Amino acid sequence: MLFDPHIHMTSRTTDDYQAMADAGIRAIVEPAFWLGQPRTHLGSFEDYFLALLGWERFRAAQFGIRHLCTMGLNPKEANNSRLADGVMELLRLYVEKDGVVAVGEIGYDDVTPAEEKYFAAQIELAKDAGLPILIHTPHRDKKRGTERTLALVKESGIAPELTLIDHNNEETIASVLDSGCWAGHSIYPNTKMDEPRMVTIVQQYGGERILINSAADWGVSDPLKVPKTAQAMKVAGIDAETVDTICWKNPVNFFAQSGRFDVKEFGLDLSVDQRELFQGNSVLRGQSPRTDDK
Amino acid sequence: MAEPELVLKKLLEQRWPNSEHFFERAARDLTEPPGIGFRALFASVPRRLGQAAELSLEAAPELRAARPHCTLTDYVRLWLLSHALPRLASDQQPGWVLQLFEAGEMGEQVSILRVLPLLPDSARFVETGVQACRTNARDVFEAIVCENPFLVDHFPELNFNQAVMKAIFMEVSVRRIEQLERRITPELSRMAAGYASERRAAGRPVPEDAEYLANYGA
Repeated sequence: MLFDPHIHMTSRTTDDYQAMADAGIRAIVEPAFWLGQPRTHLGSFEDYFLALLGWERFRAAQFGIRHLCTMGLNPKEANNSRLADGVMELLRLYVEKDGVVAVGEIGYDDVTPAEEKYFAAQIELAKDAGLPILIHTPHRDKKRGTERTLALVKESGIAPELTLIDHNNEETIASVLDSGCWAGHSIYPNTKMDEPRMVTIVQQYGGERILINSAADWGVSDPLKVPKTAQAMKVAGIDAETVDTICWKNPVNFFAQSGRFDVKEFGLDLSVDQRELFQGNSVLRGQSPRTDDK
Repeated sequence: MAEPELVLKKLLEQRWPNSEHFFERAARDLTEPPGIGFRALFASVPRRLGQAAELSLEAAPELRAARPHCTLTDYVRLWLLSHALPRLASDQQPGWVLQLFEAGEMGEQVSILRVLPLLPDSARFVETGVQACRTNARDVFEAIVCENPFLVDHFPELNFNQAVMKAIFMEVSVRRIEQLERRITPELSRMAAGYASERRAAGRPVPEDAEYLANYGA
């Protein structure tokens, strides 16, 4: 069983869901983030949050995939002073919803004072809600941005074991692991991290507190990067236990700290019944529904 | 009417002979404050210009910040902006331009960014320029970063450095940033060196622009 702990399914198709299920993906976390262009109204955030909790969870279940999500104000849009405080107010409500397993993606992008303000405020929100945090690290000035992230996390007093720092590379992973936080790696077709480099990192650091994800979204990305990287690790001779730790146990154990799902039940196959409807809607377009024996 | 505005009006009259309908409509839609009618007119400029929409014009010397790649569409939109702004209280003008930018499709956004340095007291509109750099759309990014004096003249250091680094990420040559060298600081060189190091650690080629910035002044 595989877990993709960072994937933006609102941007993907049912073909992707089918391929992911066929490749062994049984659970995903969809972090709230930006949509490729900035939102201009507060209501757009709320409808997006509702879609993550509603239609998207239903779509995933139709393919036997458990869908969890994180709620947050992403760093890019934290720079929109007209909307940011309103989103923070909405988040007080949305972090309490079922299926929300962390506050995220939060963190730095341009490393501006506004980003820092809402990053810190959302760590406090997570502490109040008893949730872990999922942190995006910047693409530009990455090393310094990651160092500042670790410093802010430490200063905030949130436990490192409740903190997942994402999009690591060869130059950031040592300091993230040393801090006691969990280290995520986004496997991308062209940027961030690729499969052979990830194999090398696992050979060097092992599997403890290490996660991998596809971070697939509306850009060039691949929702099958977790299964592909798992396969690359096996081919490279990394033992099955380590691969299972990275691709299933670690994300389960990290997000289980939210207390919002039952770990034992989580490993059981989700029964699929495509005859089900969500608010009268079906994912089907005239096909025969798949139904598993109950 | 200020001299640049007269020059602009003359430019439009010369290059757009059948523009009466447009100016009639503009007279109707330039309300106080400018509303949906104005935004619709602003959006429709290239369609109204037809084949002349993409025409690049030799800028008049009075329009100092104009650049050769500015099109007739950009100049018509500049005219509209110049006439809309005085209909708003001055403290509302920067926020209004930002909203017009955010609500615009890519072509509108490109025009706004290109003519930003031509607006009166243009430093006031820096927030629009900074927000524009958060785009993933190359045309929009190039409109503020490339061949545009606004970036070098008005961006705060943090945002300037981020824009330059983003240009490298988007494979937009930093040599297209006007007077870049005026703003290269040890901090920007450090950021470029950090990126070069990250690329080497990943076994990937280091972009020439990153090397250039990292070694500048060394």
